[in-house]
Amino acid sequence: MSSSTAKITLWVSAAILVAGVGATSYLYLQKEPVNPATAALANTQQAVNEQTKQPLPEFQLMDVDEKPQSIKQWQGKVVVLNFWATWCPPCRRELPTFKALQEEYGDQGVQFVGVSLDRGELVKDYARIEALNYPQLVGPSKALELGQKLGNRMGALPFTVIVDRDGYIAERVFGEWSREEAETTFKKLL
Amino acid sequence: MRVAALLIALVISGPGVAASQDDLLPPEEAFVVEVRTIDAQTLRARWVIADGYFLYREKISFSTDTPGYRVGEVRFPPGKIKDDPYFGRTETYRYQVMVDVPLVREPGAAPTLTLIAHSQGCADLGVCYPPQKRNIPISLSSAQDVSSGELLPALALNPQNSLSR
Repeated sequence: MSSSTAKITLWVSAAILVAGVGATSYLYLQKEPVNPATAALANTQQAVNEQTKQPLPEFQLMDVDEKPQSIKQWQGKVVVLNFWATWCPPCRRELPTFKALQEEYGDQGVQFVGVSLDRGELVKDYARIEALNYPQLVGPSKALELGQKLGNRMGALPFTVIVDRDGYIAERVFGEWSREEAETTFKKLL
Repeated sequence: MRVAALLIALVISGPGVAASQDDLLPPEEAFVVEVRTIDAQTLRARWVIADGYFLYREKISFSTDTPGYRVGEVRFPPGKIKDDPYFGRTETYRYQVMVDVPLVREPGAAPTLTLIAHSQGCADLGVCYPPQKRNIPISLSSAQDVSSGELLPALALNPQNSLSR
C-alpha cells in the first residue's frame, strides 16, 4: 500500500467512525429528552389510521345526570371522543389540555366529548372539581363496548377518536394526545 | 454510501418505539396470575407482570362468591413507591408479586371454590387497562394444584367483544 492510499484509507475510516459516533449520539439524544410514553404513542398517530374514512356509528350513552345523549347532536362539528377513566393517570393528565383546546377551538367547530368508563356520579364530581368544559358521557360496560367497536381492541386508555365534520373517523389515538398533535389535526379538519 | 443509507434508515426508524396497539400485550398476557394451594386455609397467588407493565398495589384484591368461603386479610409486600401528581403516593409492582391468601372455610363447605383475583395496571407506553377480574377454580383436596386464571374483565362485556386477541 502506498502512503497516499494509506492516508485515504485512514481518512475514510475516520470519516465513517465520526459519522457512526454522530449517528449514535443523535439516536441517543433522540431518546433522552422525550417522555417514552409520548414518544411511543406519537408514532402511533400514523399507524392508527389504518381504518380511516369509516363513518362514526350512531350511539347513545347516558350523561352524568343519567339522561340519554345521542352523538347525533354534534353532527357537523369536529368531534373529539375521548375515552377515559378516573383510575387512569395518563387520561387524567391530558384533561387540562383538552379543556384548554375546547376553550380555544370551540368557536371554530371543535367539540370534545368525554366517554368515561366510570360511574356517572364519580365523573360528575370529577368534572365539577376539574371544571371540565365539555360534556361527559358514561356507562362502564357500554363505553368499553363502544371503544372496542371503534377499534380499541385491548380496552386500554386513554383512547381518542377524532371525527370530521362529515361524520367520518379521521384519526384514532392510543395513549395521550398532545396539544401539538391535536392542533395539527384541527388545522386539517377545520 | 451503504453506511450513509444504513444510518439514514436507522434515524428514520427512530428509537424503536411502539407503532400501534399491536405493540401492546392483551391484559391477560401482560398480567398473568397463578394460584397454588398451600394448605386447607391458605392459597399462594403469584402475579407475573410482563416487562414494561406494572400493577397498582391498592388495586389488587381477592374475593370469592363460593358459599361457605371467605377471603381473609392479604398482606402485600412493599412495592415501588411513586409520587403521582394525580394520585399522590402510589405503590406499584413490576415483574412479579407473590402473596398468601388466607381462606376462612365454614364447616361442611365443599373442597372446591372459585377465587376471584382483581387487579388493575398500566403499560409504560402510556396506557392503562380497565380493572381485570379473573375467576380461578381451586381444589383444596390437592395441596399442590396450580391454576391459571380465566380472564374476565371486571366490567360486563358483550361476549362477542372479548378483550383478548
